[in-house]
Amino acid sequence: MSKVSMFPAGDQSLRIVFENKIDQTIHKQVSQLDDAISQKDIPGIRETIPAFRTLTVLYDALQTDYETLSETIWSLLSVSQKIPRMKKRIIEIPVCYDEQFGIDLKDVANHAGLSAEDVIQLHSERDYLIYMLGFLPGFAYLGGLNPVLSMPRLRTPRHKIQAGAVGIAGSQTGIYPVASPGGWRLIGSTPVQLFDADRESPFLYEAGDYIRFRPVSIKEYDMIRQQVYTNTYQCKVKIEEDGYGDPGNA
Amino acid sequence: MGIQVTRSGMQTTIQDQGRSGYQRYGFSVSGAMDQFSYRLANLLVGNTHNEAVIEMAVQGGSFSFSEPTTLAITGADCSPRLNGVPITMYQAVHVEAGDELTTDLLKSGMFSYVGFFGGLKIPEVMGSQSTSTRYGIGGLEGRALKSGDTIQFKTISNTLIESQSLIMSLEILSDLFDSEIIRYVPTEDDTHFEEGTQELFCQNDYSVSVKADRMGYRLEGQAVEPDHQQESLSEATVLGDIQIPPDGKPIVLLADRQTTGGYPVIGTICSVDIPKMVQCRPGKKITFVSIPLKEAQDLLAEQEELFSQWAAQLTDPERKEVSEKVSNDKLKQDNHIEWNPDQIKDVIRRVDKSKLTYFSYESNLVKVKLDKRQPQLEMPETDRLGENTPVEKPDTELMQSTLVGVYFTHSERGNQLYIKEGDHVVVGQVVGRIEALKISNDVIAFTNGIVRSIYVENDQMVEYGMPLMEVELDSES
Repeated sequence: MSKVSMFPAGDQSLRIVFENKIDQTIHKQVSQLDDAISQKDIPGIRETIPAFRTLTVLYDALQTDYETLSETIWSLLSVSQKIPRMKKRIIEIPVCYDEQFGIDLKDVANHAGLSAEDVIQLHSERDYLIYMLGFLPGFAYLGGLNPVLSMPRLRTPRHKIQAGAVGIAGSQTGIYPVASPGGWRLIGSTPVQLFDADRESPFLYEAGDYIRFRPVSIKEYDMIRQQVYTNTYQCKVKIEEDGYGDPGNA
Repeated sequence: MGIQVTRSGMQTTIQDQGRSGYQRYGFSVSGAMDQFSYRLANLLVGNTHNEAVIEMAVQGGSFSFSEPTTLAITGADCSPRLNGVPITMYQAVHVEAGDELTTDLLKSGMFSYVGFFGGLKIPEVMGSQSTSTRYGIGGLEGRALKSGDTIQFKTISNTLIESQSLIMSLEILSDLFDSEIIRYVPTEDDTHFEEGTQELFCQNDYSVSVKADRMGYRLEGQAVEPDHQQESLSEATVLGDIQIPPDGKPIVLLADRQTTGGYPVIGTICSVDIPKMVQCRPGKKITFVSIPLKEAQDLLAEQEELFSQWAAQLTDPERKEVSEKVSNDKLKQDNHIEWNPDQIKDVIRRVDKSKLTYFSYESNLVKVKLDKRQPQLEMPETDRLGENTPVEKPDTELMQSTLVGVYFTHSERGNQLYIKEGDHVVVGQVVGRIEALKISNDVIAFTNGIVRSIYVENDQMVEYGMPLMEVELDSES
C-alpha cells in the first residue's frame, strides 16, 4: 500500500490521508478503512466522513484522545486492506433525456461531434463509482465519465437548477439532489428523489456505491414520478462482483 | 399553544445541538452557533437533555406566552424585558400565560438564546430539531421564525426553577464576549504552508468582516500565503476550520458550513473557543494563538467539569420545585447568597470592564443594578438654513438605521440607484437597503418629503441608530 499519514484536525477530529489523487485504488483503501472502523465500534467515535483520498474521523475528546484513537486506527489500517473483495452495489437511476429536461443535450452532442442518441448511449452504458458525497445533501462525486462527453461548465451559471437534473461539468457527471444554482450542462432529469428528509433512509446511496443511468421516456418519467409521490417507487439495486480487483494489483 | 412570535427579529431560528451523522452524505450539521450559551440556556431552566432553544441573531424578537413556562436567556445581551420590565439574563425566569417577552438589538455579541423548561414541541428531522434554512428543513418549516408563528411547549411548567443567575458565570462571560484571543490547533499537514506561516498568522491581527453568516465568517487582515501549486482534493470540513482561499483572507467554518471543502486549512479553532469566535461582531479585532492539541483537549475537559459543577449547583439546593404558581413575594423570601461591599465593588469593576450593558441582582438584603446603556443617539443639527435665518425652518425627519450591517444605495438586482439627494420620496418607498448576515433588508421611507442629505455611502458599514438620511417633510403632510 502507498504511503498513508494521520494528522489531528482540531481537538476532536483526525484525518487519515492517502495518496493525493482521484483513483479507484485509493478510494478502495479509504472505504475499506471506513468499513473496518464502523464494524469495530470504537468508543468515542462520533462519525466518519470519507472523501477522495481522506477519511476524517470525528470523535468526542471527553471519551477518547488522539493517541488512543490513532493507535487503534493504525492497527485497523493494515488489517482492513486485507478484507476480501467487496461486492459492487449498483443503484439504478432512471433518467429522461428528453430535450424538455436535457436542455443542453444538443450542445453536448455538438461539442462531442456526436448525435444526441450517441450521447445518451455513452452516458448510460457505464457504471459510475461514487467517490464521495458533499457540496449538497446527497450530491455524489462520480468517476468514470467517457472523456468524449466532457464539456466545460456554462460561462454564466443558471440561477436555479431543479432537483433531479443530470448534467456534465468538465470530466464529471452528476445529479442535483436538491434545487441549486449551477453551471452544469444539463442533459436529462431523474424523477427519483435522491434526498428526502422524511424517508427512513434519507439518501439512496453512499460513497463506494455505483450509479447506473437507465434512459426512460417522458411517459415512464411521469409514471415513476407518480410512484415517487405515493412512496411506492424503489430504485433497483444490483449486487455484482467487484470489477476492479485487489487494490494492490490495480 | 405556547409561544406566539409577535416580532421575528432578524434571523430567529430553532436550534439544538445539531444534526450529526449525516456529514458523510453531504448534509450540514447546523445547530446552535454558540453551543456554550445553548447548553447554558438548557441548564439554567433545569433541562437535563439538550432541548431545542430559540436562537436570535443580531436583532432579537418578541414573544407572547399563552401558557406558563420557565425560561432563561443566554448569549449576547439582548436587553430582555418581561411585560416591559428588564429581566436578568443567565437566570431562570418564570412566565405566566399572557406575559410578553421583548428583546432588542444584541449588544455584546451576535447570538442570544432562549431556553425553555422541557423544551419545544418541534418534530425531529433526521434526529434533530435544528433549522437549516439552507436546505429548508427542521425547526418551523425549515425557515426562520416570523411574526404570527406559534410554537408549542413539550411540557407546561408551573414549576419555578431558581438559579444563581449571572454571578457564577460572570468571569466566563467576560471571556466569551471580551477576549480577543482565539486559540487554535495548527495543522500538521505541511503540504500547503511554508515554514513560518503559522508564526506569521499569529503575529497579525484579524477582524471579522461583514461577510459573516451561519456558514462561516470571513476575516480581514494580513493575507496568508498558501502554496496553491499543490492542488487539494476535496475533503471533509471540521467545525472551526480556518480555511485559506486563494486571496489569502481566512474563512472560519461554522455550524451551517458545507461538509466538504478543497481550500487548505491552516488550523482548527479549539472547541472551547468556537463560541468566542461565533460571538465576534464584524469589525472586532482578534488574535490567533496556536496551542498544542493536548492543551486544547484539557481545556475542553475543564469546561465540561465546569458544566457539571453548575449542574450540581443548580439542581440542589437552589432549585425549588413548587406545584402551585409561586408569587414573586415568595421568591424574595428564599435565601440568596449575600455580598459584602468588596464583592459588590468587584462586580461593578467586572461589569464595567465587560461589554455587558445591563446587570441586576436582587435578594432580600441586597439589590444591585448596573446600567451602562447609552442614552439615545443625539440628532445631528438639522437646521441647514443657519441660525439667523428668520424663515421658519422646515420640518425634517431623520432616518436612522435599525440594523447593523452594510448599507447599499443600489438595488441587489439590476443595480439601480434607489434615491439621490433632492429626490422626492413617499411613504413605503424603498430608499436603500442594509445587508446583514447575507440577508438584504429594505430601508423604507416613513414620510413623504424631499431627501435633503444622505449621510451614508454605498457599501458602508452602519450601526444601529446611525443616521442614514434626512428628509424634509412635505408642507401639507
